[in-house]
Amino acid sequence: MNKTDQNIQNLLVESYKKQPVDSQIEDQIMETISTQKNYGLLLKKARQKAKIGLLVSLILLVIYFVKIYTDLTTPIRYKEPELRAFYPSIFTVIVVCAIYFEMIFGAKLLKK
Amino acid sequence: MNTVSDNVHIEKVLSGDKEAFRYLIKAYQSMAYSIAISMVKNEFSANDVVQNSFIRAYKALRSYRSDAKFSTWLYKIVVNESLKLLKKNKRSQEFITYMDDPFDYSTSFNQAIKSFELKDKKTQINKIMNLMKPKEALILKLYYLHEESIAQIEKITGFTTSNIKVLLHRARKSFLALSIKHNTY
Repeated sequence: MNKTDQNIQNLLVESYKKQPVDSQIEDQIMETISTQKNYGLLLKKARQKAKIGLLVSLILLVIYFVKIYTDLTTPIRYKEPELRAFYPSIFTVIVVCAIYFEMIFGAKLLKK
Repeated sequence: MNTVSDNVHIEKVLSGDKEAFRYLIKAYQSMAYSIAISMVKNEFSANDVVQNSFIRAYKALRSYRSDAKFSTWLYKIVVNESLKLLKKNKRSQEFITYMDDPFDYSTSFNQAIKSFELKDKKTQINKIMNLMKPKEALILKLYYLHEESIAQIEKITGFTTSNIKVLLHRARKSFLALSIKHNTY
């Protein structure tokens, strides 16, 4: 900083040593804030609930899938034509599981 | 970086303790007002800007990332609120700039500054700042009064580095010229 810059700075610092601030502002802001809902906190709680819900659903789906698979394979291991009839439902369950996995591990919203 | 106390209070607010926000208001309202008044030039409007800025900051606190300085983040909101108000009001007041004046006022200013001691500096400087263009006054205050670096000013205002340097050059010139021409020391 040269002499002029230093003089400008000194002048500004001396003139604005103490910036006058409306003393009521602080209370007015706090009053506005106190009447507001903390949407951030609500969102956080909602995310946690959604996460738990998704995990429970996923566990139930896996149980359901395993149950169907084990129930079907044993009695119809040697009856492939009957088994083919269940292919669409098995495929659907896999797709639904994949979507759930994507929602849990892929969605940014649920990461926080 | 933020002080430890800043981070503690931000965390408290985020976990639902609204009263902790009072600490942040106390710590930063003076600087926020300083930025606002240099742009909107009116104490009532500046108070409104400060109030709106803090409320906006509170609402958006979750989006604040702690790797940046809280003050920089807050002042950016203050600058945006001030610009919004200026745009809305479209002030009829004309501001003075000396960007095309080739005269170098430095020497006259450095000589005249000795007599500044005898007068009411604050009133005179306020007058000068009110005559300056809002963006020039803002840059001048941030650079000289708050000693922010060009990089920090860039973060606060969102202006480019070259734009800030041009504004700072013009602001410096306007300040010197106005100090000489529009005040009777």
